[in-house]
Formats: sequence, C-alpha cells, structure tokens
Amino acid sequence: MRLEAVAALLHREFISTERSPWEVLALLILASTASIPTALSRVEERVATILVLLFITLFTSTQSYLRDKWRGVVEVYHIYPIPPAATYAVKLAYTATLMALAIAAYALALATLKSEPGIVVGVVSTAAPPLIYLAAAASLASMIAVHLKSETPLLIAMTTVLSTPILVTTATAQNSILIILSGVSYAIIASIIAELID
Amino acid sequence: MGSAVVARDLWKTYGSNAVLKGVNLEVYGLTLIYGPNGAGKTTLLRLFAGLDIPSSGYVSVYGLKPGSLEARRITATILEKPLLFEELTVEENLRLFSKVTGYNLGEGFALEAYEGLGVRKFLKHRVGDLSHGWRRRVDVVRAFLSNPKLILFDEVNTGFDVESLKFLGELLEGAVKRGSTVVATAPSLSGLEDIASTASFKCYIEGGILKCG
Repeated sequence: MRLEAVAALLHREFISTERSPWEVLALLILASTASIPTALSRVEERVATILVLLFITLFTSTQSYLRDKWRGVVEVYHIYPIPPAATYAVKLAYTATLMALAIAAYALALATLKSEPGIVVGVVSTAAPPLIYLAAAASLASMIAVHLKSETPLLIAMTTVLSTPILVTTATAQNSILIILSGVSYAIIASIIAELID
Repeated sequence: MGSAVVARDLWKTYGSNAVLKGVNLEVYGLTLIYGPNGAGKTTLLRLFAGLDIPSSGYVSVYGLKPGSLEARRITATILEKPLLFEELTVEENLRLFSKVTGYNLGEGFALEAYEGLGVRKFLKHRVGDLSHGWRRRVDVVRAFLSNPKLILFDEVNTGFDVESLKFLGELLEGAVKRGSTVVATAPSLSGLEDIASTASFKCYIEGGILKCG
C-alpha cells in the first residue's frame, strides 16, 4: 500500500480526535490526576509510573479499533484494499501518540506538584522504552476484541495480560535498548497476527 | 459472457437461524435482488463483499475470494449505513478515499456521480451533519471513486428521492455498459422501474431462498 494512503489514514485518526476530543481529554485529565496520589505517597516513582502506564495502556486500547467499531466505521477497513498490517500500523502509531501525550501530562503534573522539574526526565526515561510495546499490545488487544465481537471485559483482560510482561521487565531491568527492541519485535509479530486474523 | 458473481449452495446461519438456504446464483450485468425484510438480501450482499463468511457453500467474485485484497480492489460496496467518517467533511472523506484507492474524483465515473447527485454543495459540511439521504449520495460517490468492476448496492431505493433514483438508474446502467457488474438489493421493485427495466436478472428472495427470473 502506498505511503500516501497510510499517511492519509493516520491523519484521519488525528482529525477525528481533534473534532471529538472528549475521550482523549478524559485520558489527559485522568493521567494528570494520577500524579496526585504519587506525589502524596511514598511509593517509588518508577513503580508509580509503571502503574500509571498500565492505566494509560488500558484506556488507549479503547481508542484503537474499538473506537471505529463504536462509530460504526470499522468495515471501511474491510471493503477497501488496505492490508491489515497497514491498518495495524496506523492504529499503533496513533495509540503510541496518545500514550506519549498522556505520559507527558502525568510527568508535568507530577513535576508541578512536587516542584521538581527533574521528575519529568525520570518519568520519561521509565515510560519511553516500553511505549512501543505497550502501544502494540493495546492495539492488538483492541483488534482481537473487535474481531471476536467482544468488548470491554475481554479488552481489559487481554490488554492487561499482553502488557504485564513488559511492565514487569521495565520495573526490574535497566536495559532500555532491550526493552525498545522488544517493543519493535512485538509490533512486527502483532502486525503478522493482524494479517492472519483478517 | 462469464459470470462475475457466482454462488453455489450458499448457506448462512446465525445460531439455529438459517438466513440463506442453498442460494445458487451466477450473474453478470445488472442484477436486482428484492424481497421482504429479513429475507437475506443484505446477508447475501455482505457475503459477496467479504464482510461475512458463508456457513457453507461457495462464493466468488470475478473468480476471486470475496474480501481478499484483490477482490476489494475491484469491488465497491454501498451499504444502507454509509461507510463514511462522520467527523470529516464530505471533501475530506472523498480526498481520503481517493488516496486509499489511488483514483481521483476526475477519473472514471465518480465525477459523473458527484455532479449528478449534487454532492458539490455539501463539500465543506461534516458528514455527521448531513441527513441520511445526503450521506447515501456521498457514499455512492465514494464507492465510484475506485472505478469498480463490481458494484454491490444494498437497499438501492432507500434514502433517495424520485429524481436521484432516476439518475442512479442511469448511473448504474452506464456502469454496466462500461463492463461493470452491479448487484443491487431492494425491498420491492416499486419505484425502481427504470433500474428494473435494464436488469439482466431479477431475483426474488424470501426466507433465505432465492429464485431468479
């Protein structure tokens, strides 16, 4: 599929959000308010960030394929010659962007509450490496939920299960490169699954 | 002429409910499938589009498996619910699908549909703000963008007034003359005299059983 077509589909995701921003606004507000218990408690920042990442992943999984299903347009992708892997790549890129924005909102809010601007670097260095992996997991869970004609409960369960390995790894390992490479591999495997499922 | 759409002993069941019962069909040109609500018209069309898979039986479009990428390249599907992005304007939708298909509005017979159905005046309107009838018109233009060999048109007389229905008849007739195959469904032939008079096949379906004349 031509790159221009993929770019147009991705552009559509952002335009749709711009014109109907309520879910994304809710995500950003919730991510920001998640900084309050983190600031007030004695929990280690890295652990708190990982928990917030899980929440963000769960939320963004509803903004992927499921959003199109709720709006009644998921069949657009099935009547046009759009390879499933291309659709998956678009959803992955969009989901990753949402997650990055949510993490940024959380980091900025936490830094403001604690009056420590350096916290932003700490949060980003924890959250950035697993971002691709988590976005891939969220999109994959969303795709499977739509394919199985199931919705929220299955989506929550699948997203949690698919995200847990990388979150545990992020909590325990310090090798960011390995985590990023895991994410890329996961995304490639998930796009193959997308081709097989369709 | 070889058949563009072939169905052999096609069954579709949902649980214990058989919606299609051993449908056999080999068509080309313009085919009208009509019958009461719940007869299986839309289900049959969805099988041709690859949006559903049969419970048993065989179906192909131009020798291709429905829903495959190759089949999608030559097929335009127009469902009763328009497949448009409601947050985008008409222009944005058409531009997007233009990029997806690689065809522009000025190529093929999409322009004819665009001019004839009067879609121009709503270019800057969001699709979500349009009435169902106007969304259907935009959907027709969207479908014709890809210069399709096969046009699947569900509920062809829903959402269109008398004038636009007449134009649609001419549009579909023109598509057939250019070598396309059209399969259209409707609850009845009432109001479709123009289309019905040029149809190669008129098939009645009820209770999942299809009879063509």
